[in-house]
Amino acid sequence: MSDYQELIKSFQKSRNYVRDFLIYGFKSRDDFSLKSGRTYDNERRRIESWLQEYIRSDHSPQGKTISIALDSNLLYTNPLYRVWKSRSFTDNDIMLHFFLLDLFQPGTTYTAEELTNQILDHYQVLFETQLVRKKANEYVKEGILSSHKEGRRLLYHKNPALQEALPSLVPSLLPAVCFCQLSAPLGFIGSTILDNQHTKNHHFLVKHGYYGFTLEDEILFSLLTAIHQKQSVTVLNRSNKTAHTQEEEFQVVPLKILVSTRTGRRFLCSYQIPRQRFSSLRLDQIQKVTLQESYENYDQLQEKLQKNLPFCFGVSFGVSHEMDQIKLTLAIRERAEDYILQRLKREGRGGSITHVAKNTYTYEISVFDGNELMPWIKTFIGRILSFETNNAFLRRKFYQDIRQMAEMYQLTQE
Amino acid sequence: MELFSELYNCYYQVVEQILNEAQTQPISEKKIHQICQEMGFAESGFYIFPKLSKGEWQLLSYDGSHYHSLIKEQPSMPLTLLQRSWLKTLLADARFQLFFTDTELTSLADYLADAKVLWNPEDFHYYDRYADEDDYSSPVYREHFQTLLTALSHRQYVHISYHSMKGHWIAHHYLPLKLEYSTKNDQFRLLAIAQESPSRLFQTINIRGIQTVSLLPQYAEQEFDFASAIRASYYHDPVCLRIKNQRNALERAMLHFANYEKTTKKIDEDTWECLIYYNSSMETELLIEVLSFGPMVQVIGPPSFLAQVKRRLAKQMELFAHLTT
Repeated sequence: MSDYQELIKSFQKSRNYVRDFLIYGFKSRDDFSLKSGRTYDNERRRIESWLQEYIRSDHSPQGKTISIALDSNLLYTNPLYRVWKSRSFTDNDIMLHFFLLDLFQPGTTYTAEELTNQILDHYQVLFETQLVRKKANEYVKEGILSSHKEGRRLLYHKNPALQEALPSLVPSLLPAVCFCQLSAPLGFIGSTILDNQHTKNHHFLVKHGYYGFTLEDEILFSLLTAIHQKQSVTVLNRSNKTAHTQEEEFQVVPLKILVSTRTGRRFLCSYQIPRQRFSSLRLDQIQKVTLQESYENYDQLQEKLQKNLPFCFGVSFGVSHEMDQIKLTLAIRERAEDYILQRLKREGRGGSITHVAKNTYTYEISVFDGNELMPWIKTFIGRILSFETNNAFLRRKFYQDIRQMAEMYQLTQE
Repeated sequence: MELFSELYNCYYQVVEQILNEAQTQPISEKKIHQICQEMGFAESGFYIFPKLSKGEWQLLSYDGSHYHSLIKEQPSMPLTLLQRSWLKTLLADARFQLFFTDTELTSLADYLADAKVLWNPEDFHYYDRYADEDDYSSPVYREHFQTLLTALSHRQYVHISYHSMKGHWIAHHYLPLKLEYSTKNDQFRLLAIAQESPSRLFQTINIRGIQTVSLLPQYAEQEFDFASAIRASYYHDPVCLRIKNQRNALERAMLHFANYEKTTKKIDEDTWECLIYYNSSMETELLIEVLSFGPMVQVIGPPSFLAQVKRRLAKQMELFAHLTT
């Protein structure tokens, strides 16, 4: 393993391994057959190194398995952010980083030539001016340095650090970042602010926190850029719906990110240009996003989507032209079980609730894809008086599922 | 602006800490390894120390026994454009605003004026979020939230009067432990222990239910061991589920239960067994989550959890029997 390094150049390669260890945690070396055994060994070793406190290994008949065990009740940050902090760099990168931060004290400005000389004087390291200029320009792009011209000289200076720019605001800002690094999109960025400020979150927890989804943040970042700039994109999607993994490219106009708070799953809601329809793609299945040109009718598509979204119970726009009409009748004891009624209102996503008889309520909704309601409807098992729908397949599936469950738990009454 | 950049690399943090320590006084090889171990990845010390000691990263000098920093000042890193953009984006988030006064929000907006937002709130649609979110725009809510933040950071007791979830009016002295945010409910809750509580069990108080909250001149001497309290609250026996991999149920279940501490193993070609660790406060939620998978997920144990599933299902069969007669 002479070529093994703890740091990596590309995030994409490790992303799928981390995800498999986290989500499944029961796969052995043989299950990772797409790549060589050596690739697996290197990836496993890296992940064990990055996330050592969270790694659990086990021996099964299939071989050694590695899993990442996270208990969201006890997490003050997302441990998977550590994967984002593993980008490789050169010797010159790290030296120039600390030299530049050290040389640029408040009020000082230097040209690239002056910086090169200062580095030689102070640290006895000789760099080519071209290399120093390149790094300084990179830091200007990143917002660490600024530059301005005086005559023909391009001068660089360091932007003020947070404590210098907003000293009185830091005590309020850091707790806000502590919270948002855990709860907001692209929270990894917040965790880097805490790193710079040598601060850790001790006060905030997130219930129903799903942490695996930071692995898609590079994809999310590109899609948000496209949404912001009203651009179309090409996405490379890897689907495992069938027994074989399939890769497919789609030309789409990204419109929104749909998020499930119950599973943490995130979807790209977009308009598929060739098929002329809305669709949703799982972010964790998107492998690559390539930004294309601006889309002329972007605002009209957004308006159209706004009109359609109330008819999506989840993320599906359905396959047929007919809407699925769902009617659920539930037994809810008035007053004693008002909390169930509250649940129905809270979770019903706009469906209408009617008190039809003593201790009996109906819930009705019209949606593109009634299949998306099925898991939620089953959470009311024990009080469902009837399930009615114009979709014969769904009706059959629902009663069949209940019958199968009864058989599974040996409750059938012959 | 790159998300995956060496600027956020863990090694930079480790080296910064080594340089800071070595500025105050020369440091030993042992101390360098200790910093690598505390702040780096498991094997970082094997890479960082040789680079520093052999001069490939010319940041330290060696006097024969200790290392000195060649860097004169403690590095002060400005916020990058990416970090400023993220903060600017959050300015539009009502939860983020809770932490600030209006004047502070204006100062922050001025400071971030040159940054571009990364997204707008309407770019995200949380389609299954409960329609019961807290009112973050309420000045009273913000005041309560900020008082609790002060108490948390000073380990200070507070007097709270509130309407409990069961509708009771309660007033008591509490030590705030954590602020818990529920993504699903879009609500904040305070986890706290009542002063002189004999059980030392913590309670959950919805921030929205708080009528008054005031700081008391009493402080807890020690940090409450929250992690031990949570671990102690878990039932001895985890829920044992058997998952049939039909209708993509395995992947759905693994994603759905990803927020629980769990272990999974393969039983046969298309069956997996999953153990989920839980406590009484998670029980009902876990129960209905399991039911939502229908026949794809079977509860094997523990007996008390299995009995609840069977009770609900038996009741359901009774209701259907009644329908057909």
